[in-house]
Amino acid sequence: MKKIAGILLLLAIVAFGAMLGLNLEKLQPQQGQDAYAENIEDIRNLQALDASWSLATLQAYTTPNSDFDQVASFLPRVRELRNRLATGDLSSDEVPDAVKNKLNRFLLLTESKEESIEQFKSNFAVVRNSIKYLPLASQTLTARLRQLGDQEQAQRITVIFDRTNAFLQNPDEGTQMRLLMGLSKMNEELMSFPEEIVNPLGNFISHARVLVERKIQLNASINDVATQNARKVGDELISLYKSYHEKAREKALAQRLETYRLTLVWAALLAIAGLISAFLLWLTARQFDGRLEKGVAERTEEIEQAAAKASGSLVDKNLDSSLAGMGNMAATVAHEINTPLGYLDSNLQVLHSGMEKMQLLMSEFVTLKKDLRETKDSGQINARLENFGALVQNVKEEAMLDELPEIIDDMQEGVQQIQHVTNDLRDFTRKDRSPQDWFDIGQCVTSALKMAQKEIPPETRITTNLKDLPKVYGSPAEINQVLMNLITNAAHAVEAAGHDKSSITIKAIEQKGHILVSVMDTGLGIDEKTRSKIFEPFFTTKDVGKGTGLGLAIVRRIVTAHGGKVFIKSIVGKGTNFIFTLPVKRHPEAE
Amino acid sequence: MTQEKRSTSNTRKALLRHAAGLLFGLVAAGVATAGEPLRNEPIKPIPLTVEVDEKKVALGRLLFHDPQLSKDNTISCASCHSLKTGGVDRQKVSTGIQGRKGNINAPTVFNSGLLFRQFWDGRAETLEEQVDGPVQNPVEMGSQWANVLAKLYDDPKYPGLFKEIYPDGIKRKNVKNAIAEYEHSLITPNSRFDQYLRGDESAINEQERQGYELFKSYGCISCHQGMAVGGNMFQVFGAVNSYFKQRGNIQKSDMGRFNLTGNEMDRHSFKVPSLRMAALTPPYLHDGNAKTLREAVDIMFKFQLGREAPDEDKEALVAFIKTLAGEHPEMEK
Repeated sequence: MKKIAGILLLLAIVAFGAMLGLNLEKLQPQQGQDAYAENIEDIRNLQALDASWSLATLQAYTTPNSDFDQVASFLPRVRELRNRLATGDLSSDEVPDAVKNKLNRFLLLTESKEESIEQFKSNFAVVRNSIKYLPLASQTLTARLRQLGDQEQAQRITVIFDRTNAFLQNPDEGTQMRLLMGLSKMNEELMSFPEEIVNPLGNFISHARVLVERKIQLNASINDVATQNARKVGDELISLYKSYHEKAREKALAQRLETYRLTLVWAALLAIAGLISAFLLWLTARQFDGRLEKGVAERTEEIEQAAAKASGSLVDKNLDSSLAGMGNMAATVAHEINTPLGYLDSNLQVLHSGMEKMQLLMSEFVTLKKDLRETKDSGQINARLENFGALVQNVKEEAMLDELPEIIDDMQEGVQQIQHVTNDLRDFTRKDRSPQDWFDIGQCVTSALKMAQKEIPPETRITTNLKDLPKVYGSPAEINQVLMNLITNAAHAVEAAGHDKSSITIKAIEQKGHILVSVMDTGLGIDEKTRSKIFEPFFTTKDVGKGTGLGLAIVRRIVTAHGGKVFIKSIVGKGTNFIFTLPVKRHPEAE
Repeated sequence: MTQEKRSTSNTRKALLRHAAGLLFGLVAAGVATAGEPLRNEPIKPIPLTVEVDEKKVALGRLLFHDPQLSKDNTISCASCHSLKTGGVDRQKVSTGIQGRKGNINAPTVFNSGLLFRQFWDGRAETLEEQVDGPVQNPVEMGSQWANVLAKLYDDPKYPGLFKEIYPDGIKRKNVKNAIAEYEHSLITPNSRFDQYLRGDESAINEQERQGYELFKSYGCISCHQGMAVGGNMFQVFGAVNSYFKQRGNIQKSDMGRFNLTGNEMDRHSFKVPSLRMAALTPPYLHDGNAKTLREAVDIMFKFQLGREAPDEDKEALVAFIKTLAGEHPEMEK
């Protein structure tokens, strides 16, 4: 019996050992937790680098005397992270396609950012040189032609130069076509110009053509740099990866538990088979139970730690999104300010060289006055006066005196454009509220209409319906601005649609403790995709110089601060209705 | 693992540096005075020292000068990039094994570590990656790595040297790493122009200073800027007027980055070359068509800047460009 028990015991131990040996691999703690945390960190770092890279690029765009070393210095770091993510275990076979696809998309985004930045640098260099060169070239060419007595050809060059400026201010198809047509006509007739200016004029034409091509590419590349944002896709990647990782871990844990269970069943079976060694087998099983509990407890703790780690990284995420927001803002502001600035800069150069000539003339005048006083010979005096007269004529032509008022007007317009941008920015970021009082919404509508008057096309019919409304408590100045922004938008929409019978209707009614104000237009309407983004700061559908993309963001901020809400209803092709609500509080005098 | 940890913390540091740089830039803008370093200039001085692993540099130096890297043991890296002559061979195109001619002008190896990519078309992202090019190019060294590694194994001096630095011994990646490290050490600091940037006004003469002002005002600076005075961006050759239409006989090597990307905007687009060593490295341009600096300047005016300039200005520009070359102990004065 003892012998049988001994054999059974031996068999049981051998079988149990074999069982353990077979499953040993599955009983080992799982690897991969470290790799997971590192991958997440790499993704976050690449998101942050991507945002700073955009910022550095926009900074190079807007800073005078900048060089591209800073922008280029991101390359090795971005490359390293990209390679690691592309070749790491995130790309292994076990990872589901959804995660891999998202990873590829994320990496592709940073690659196309790199491409856009290359295009930006190259285009920026050329555009910068041409913008600087064109005014000087135009001035030299027209001055020379006028000296040669060819007013007509000089005027043609001025016209072309004006068209390049018009294009720079508003690079749309119309200004582009007008400029390119003028250029090719001039190029065809190049030989009709005096021989000595054929070469410089050829260069002038080349520059203007290159400017058209490169400025459009530059705007596109800058836009790409600002809007290609790896943050969103990176966040999506992280959440996909997280959920995959958790599922994989759960599965692995379940498998391990299953293995433990199987082992236990086997052990129990063997225990029954080896009755005599029951005690020993029971002991083994107990020991095993203990290990199972310990194992489960360890895994639980690991999961909890991972969860804690994940929530700790929220801070980084917020940093990324504010960086990206800054990127967007910087891009729009740079975009809006740079065009008038470039224009101001080239006009200033013209003014500057004009002023130099004027100064020359002034000093000439001073000597002349002195000479006249001392000279008695009238013949000599006449000769000097004649010389001086010729000089004045020359300066008048070369210094472009005739064009001065226009140049200054244009500059004023440029300054106004910049002021417009900075005012909008200030309104948007203003933290303090303007004075609060009881006010009449009807009066606000009247004054907003007056202020927006010049934006409304003359043939537009304006209807208002604002009867019997209680006074509202809040900031009349801010509500004025809300109305003015909405009316201006309505006016632009109506203008863009260009119907014969267009109208803007402003209505207000009281309903369930709120005042509903609606501004309705018969403009082009807004499609659903645009509607979803329309309240985002810096989102605009208008051309450069026409809108900062802040108007509706300001509207929403003000209305929300008043405890109200903004709604939009729109039918494409028919028109749009903006409605905002303001809560009615009972006015003390009314009670 | 430790290496990964280090690089992520490097990323953070770099971000901080970037932020600090922004602040510093704002404060330092336009405050340079006599004797003070000029800070707000679009050209920056090359640092006086560079951090490299001296053991790797020594090994890299041996490999750089070793003709065993070529198929028939005749050509080393230094054959076309001789340090004595400014890091180039001063030929229109270089000659590889069996007298075969290259198809593009060899750029200098000096300061190549400062460039954002390697080769004229930027196809290599790092110096390490670059090494593969000439070693395997049939008209340059025409080798295969297996053969190169076998020769290095049989050479008594290499196995020990490699083992000392790289635990896995003679490997392709280690050969590339050592050569790249050596190339990183090849900077040329302390040029007369850098001395001027660091505040020594007498380091350059009036014509040279004038040349620098012209370099900025004519717009050369739009592309040739930063520490290497070039080498941080791509530009189309023929940006304003078409160079290739005039030169004719267009080859594949004239297409530049277009060969890589197929993007129409990259046709004839090249890495803007560094002007740091220009004084010592004729002939110029990717096709080696400009024999002198003055010819190169003429071509740049005609096709890149698309404008005319008096001789006097061009001479000042040449004089300025000659102040950019710095020092290196292995270079002949």
